[in-house]
Amino acid sequence: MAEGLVIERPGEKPLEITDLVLDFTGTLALEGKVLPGVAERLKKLAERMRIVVLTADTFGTARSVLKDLPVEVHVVETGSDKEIDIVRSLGGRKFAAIGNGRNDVPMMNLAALGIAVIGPEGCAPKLLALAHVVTRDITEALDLLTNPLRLKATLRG
Amino acid sequence: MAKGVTVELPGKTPMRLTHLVLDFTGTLSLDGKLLPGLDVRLRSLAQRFCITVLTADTFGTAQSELKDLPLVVHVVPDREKADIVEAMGADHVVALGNGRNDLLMLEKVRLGIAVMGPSGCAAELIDAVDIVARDVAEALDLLDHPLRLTAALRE
Repeated sequence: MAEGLVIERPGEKPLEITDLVLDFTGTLALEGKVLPGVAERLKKLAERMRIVVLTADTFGTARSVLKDLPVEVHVVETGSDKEIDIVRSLGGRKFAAIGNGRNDVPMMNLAALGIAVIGPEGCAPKLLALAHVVTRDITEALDLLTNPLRLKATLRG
Repeated sequence: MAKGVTVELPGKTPMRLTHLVLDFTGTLSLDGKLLPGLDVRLRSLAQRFCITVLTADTFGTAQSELKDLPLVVHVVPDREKADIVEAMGADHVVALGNGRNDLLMLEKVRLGIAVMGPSGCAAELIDAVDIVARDVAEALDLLDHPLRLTAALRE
């Protein structure tokens, strides 16, 4: 049973995260291939939380390259009813979201903890404005979730 | 020799910076340990700036990690950082930080630099600062090369 993640915030209620929602293209992957260091981190994080990959899958590789990893993959058209349904269904849950693209705005809007990544494909400026934390690398973003004291230090205020 | 750095800004009054204020956790350090390559840079910058570290010290290691360096360490509550830079004379201060508790201090100082290190950067800082750096070593090197600052800040 996944235990989730608790982030202490001095002077505020701790943040409890049960789910992680990830973009694929440009966030976990470069040109459709999973970036180095991502697979082992996802396996480790899956012991603590449910992991959902939500992607428009521009390169058409998401399902095949993620098939051996403990993640749920949903391929959705940006702005489609299906995407809106999935994001809405997440709205009732305390989830962390990691993304880099303009089409990650809806999930970032609802996330209890939003992390924008400026990876090798850059980052949409709109996400920078919506995120709580900005990182320069997907492995650093995933490592924040396995080291909650790093998040405590960055978010305290 | 008088301390400080002058940053020329074409068409504007130059910046005269004498005090360097640094966050510790997530800016100079990861998981409480000083990041590599910083001790040399801080020693060099101490010849130009009065250096002060202001930190909530989430990992409780700031004093011991920094004890051999030519700077002053103050462990302070999150909200006091801005008051301290104001008392220093914020108009001559350059500050570096990555966390939410650095926001008010970075807004107040003459030159605010947000640093995106391995612990990430609180997104609120991006809009509030003059420069965003992707690494603390790069951020410190800007201060040793004022022409880089002129190039980044000129309008």
